[in-house]
Amino acid sequence: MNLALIPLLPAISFVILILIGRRLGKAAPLISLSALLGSLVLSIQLFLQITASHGHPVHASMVWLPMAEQSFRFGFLADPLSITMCLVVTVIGWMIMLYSTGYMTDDPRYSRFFAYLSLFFAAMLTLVLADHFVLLYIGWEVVGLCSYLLISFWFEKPSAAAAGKKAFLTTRVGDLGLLAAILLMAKFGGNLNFGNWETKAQALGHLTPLVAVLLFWGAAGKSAQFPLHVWLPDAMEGPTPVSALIHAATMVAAGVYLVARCMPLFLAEPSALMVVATLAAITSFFAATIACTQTDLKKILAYSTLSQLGFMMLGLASGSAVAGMFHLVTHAWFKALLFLGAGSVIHAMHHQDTTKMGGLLKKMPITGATFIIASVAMAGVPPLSGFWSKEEILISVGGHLPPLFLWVGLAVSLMTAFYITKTVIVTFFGECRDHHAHAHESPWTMAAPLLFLSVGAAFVGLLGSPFFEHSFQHFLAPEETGGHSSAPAWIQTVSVLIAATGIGLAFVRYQLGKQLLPERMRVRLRPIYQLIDNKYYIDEIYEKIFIRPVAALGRLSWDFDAGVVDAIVNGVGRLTQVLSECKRQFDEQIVDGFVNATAIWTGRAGQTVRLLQTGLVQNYLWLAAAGAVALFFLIRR
Amino acid sequence: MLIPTSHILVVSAGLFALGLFGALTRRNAVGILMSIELILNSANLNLIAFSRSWGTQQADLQVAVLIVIGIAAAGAVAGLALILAISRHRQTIQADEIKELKG
Amino acid sequence: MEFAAKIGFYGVAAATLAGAWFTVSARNLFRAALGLALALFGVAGLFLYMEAEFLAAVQLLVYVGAILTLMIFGIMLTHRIADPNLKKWNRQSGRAGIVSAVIGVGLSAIFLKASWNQSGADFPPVPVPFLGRAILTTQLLAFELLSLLLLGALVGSLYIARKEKRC
Repeated sequence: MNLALIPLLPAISFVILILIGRRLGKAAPLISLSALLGSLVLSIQLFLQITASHGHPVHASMVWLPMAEQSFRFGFLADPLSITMCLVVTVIGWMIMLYSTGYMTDDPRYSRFFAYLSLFFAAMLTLVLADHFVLLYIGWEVVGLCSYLLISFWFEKPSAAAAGKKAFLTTRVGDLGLLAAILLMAKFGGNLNFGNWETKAQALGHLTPLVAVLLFWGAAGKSAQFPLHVWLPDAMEGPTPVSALIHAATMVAAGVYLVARCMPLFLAEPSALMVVATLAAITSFFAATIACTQTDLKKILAYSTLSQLGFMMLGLASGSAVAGMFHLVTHAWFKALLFLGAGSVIHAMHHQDTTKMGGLLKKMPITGATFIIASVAMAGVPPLSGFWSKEEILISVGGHLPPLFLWVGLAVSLMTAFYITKTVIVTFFGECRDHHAHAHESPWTMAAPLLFLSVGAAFVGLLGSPFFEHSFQHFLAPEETGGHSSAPAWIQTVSVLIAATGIGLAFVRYQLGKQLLPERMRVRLRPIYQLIDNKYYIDEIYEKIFIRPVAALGRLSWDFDAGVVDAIVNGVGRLTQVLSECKRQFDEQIVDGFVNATAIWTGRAGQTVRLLQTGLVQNYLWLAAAGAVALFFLIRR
Repeated sequence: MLIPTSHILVVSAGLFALGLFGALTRRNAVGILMSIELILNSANLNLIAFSRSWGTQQADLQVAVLIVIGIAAAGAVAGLALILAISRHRQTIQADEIKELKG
Repeated sequence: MEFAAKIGFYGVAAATLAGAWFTVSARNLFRAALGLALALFGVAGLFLYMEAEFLAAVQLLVYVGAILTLMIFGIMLTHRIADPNLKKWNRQSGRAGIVSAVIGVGLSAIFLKASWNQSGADFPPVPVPFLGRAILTTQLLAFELLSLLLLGALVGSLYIARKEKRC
């Protein structure tokens, strides 16, 4: 029962806010905050229950469709995996919601924003707690809807409306894969409950790789993996708390969660894992390169998110669900913090162009300090959280995948350290390059979540470190031993060195202002820079390959509609018109003729009889007398 | 008496015919009322004539005459009241000028 | 004596009919009322000839004394009574005359042709106490109804003829 309450509380809050939110005004967040707080407390209680019982899952199911042999059940399942997600969503979500109360203060659709957020939490918690693919799919779709609504929350801006549309349509392409996978599983795989993966894989037989790839395709849509990644950078048009919550910490992690949930299915089919690894590596690497060239604060973070999601997928592809999930958790903390810090900066500067920032650390000490902590955590400096999860992934990749993927992972780490350091330096150090701005520290509702999240960003990783005896890994997967033994021992050292190198290079380039490459080489590399700066022209390619033909097809069917279908419809309409005209003539001439003739003759008879009615009393009396005389003669005869 | 009943009846018939003619033709409403009195008188005359020829219920017939006279009085009173009301209301008592009920 | 009585009867009858004619045809309504008085007197005389003295007295009292006076009041109270420009008869006088004549002549012809009980003339006249007894015994209901009718006529004419305050 408590289990079902976790998603239900935000749902109730959504209903209240969407119905009477406008009347509540500034009190609207109180409802959504308290609802989510309820979910948070329940999640913690469940978490304690599960840890106390050594990872024994809590399961609550109900009969959905009673059928003859086997009734169709579904319900909520809280095992270590889902309760981890649940905690991430509720804790970070609560912080971001608190932050939003400050960030959205001046918005005319204040309560509407919190209604959407509540709906998002209801759907997201349903998604992670579902014990059944159909329920997961419901949450999956509603989460996508919320993403659409929140990206285009400021729909007065054409770019925001377009971005929402793009996100919705692109993720829909991915959702189609998930739906296909679910249908295949329902048809051939027995049931749709989570668990019994071996039986399911056996029942699917040779369809297993197809189902696995389709599942990953769905996950790629939601987690913005290449080639469905194009929507995430555009999604930055939405309010910054939304970017932090949905497009960095929680919703985009749903794909990672899905793959981790179905891990046994992937493990049964190594070829599927290779597909995942390849796409994840491509996403991770190219997104990192793009992030290096961007100057828009939120775009940098968006591409960084892409890259990190690819990194998580890479970890999953190496066969370790724990590694991917671990990075998901730490990433949720520091990336949410980065976005909220960026939001704080944007709130103060009223723009998000890093080339016009600088020296903000003095003006916004809390924002600056927490942003730096998050950046260092992401760059992978020990002992902050990013280091531990990244190391875990690199070790797993090095142990189970071909060496190429390890090199890609290391390159991504290098670039990550580089671009995030660059961002920090450009934004918070040096001289302010825009003297019109009057930056100031944000109110406590925005500062408090920053402080709280920075603590998490710094120390959550320790839970998975040797200092805590890898308690996170043991909680999540007691049976998984981890790749420590088989991985090359040098990885740990190298990853620290690489983080240091990236930070150093960025420091030299942007703080000291020295060029890293000789002039000749920079000229030579100019086209590549252009290519990366334009995001590899992927949007343009999609425009040419998919959007134009579809639009042309649409126009063609429109022409068909207008030319042929409408002509038939109009012809039928014209025929009906002619027929009705004939019928009208018949009606008017013949039927009405009879009716009118009756009326006319009645009228004439009335006119005649009317003459008797003179209104003169004496006339009537005369008639009576004359009548008596006539009667007398009649009777006499 | 030697006067034959039929002669009295003829006088009453003459009274009736004249009264009817007046009721049909007088334009003035009071004139019509007076003509109706003539008709009633002719009826009274008849009653008396018959009471004399059939002597058995002479008294009853004479009482009937009394009652007719009473009714005539009531009619005259009501009719004159109506005429008065009409004349006050429409400034005329010419019967052929009152024809609201013409169809 | 009998001859004189007969002459007297026919004279009274002729006066009655003449008065009736005058009532019907006089242009001046006041004169018509005088004609009516003559006719009523004539009828009372005829009643005397038929030995109904009490009824003759009642005729004089009620008709001449009450109704005729009422008529003259009515004539005085309404307008344009003596206007000589007004036509005395309406437009249907022609056919009305024909119908009336047919009825009068027809009735007279029937009355003259029929064989009446002539011996009835021998009955003795009814004494007045008989009438009073009949009114209060056999004819009581009719008498009471008449009194009700008179009361109704009294109240009703007061209501109808009263001056309306609105006008």
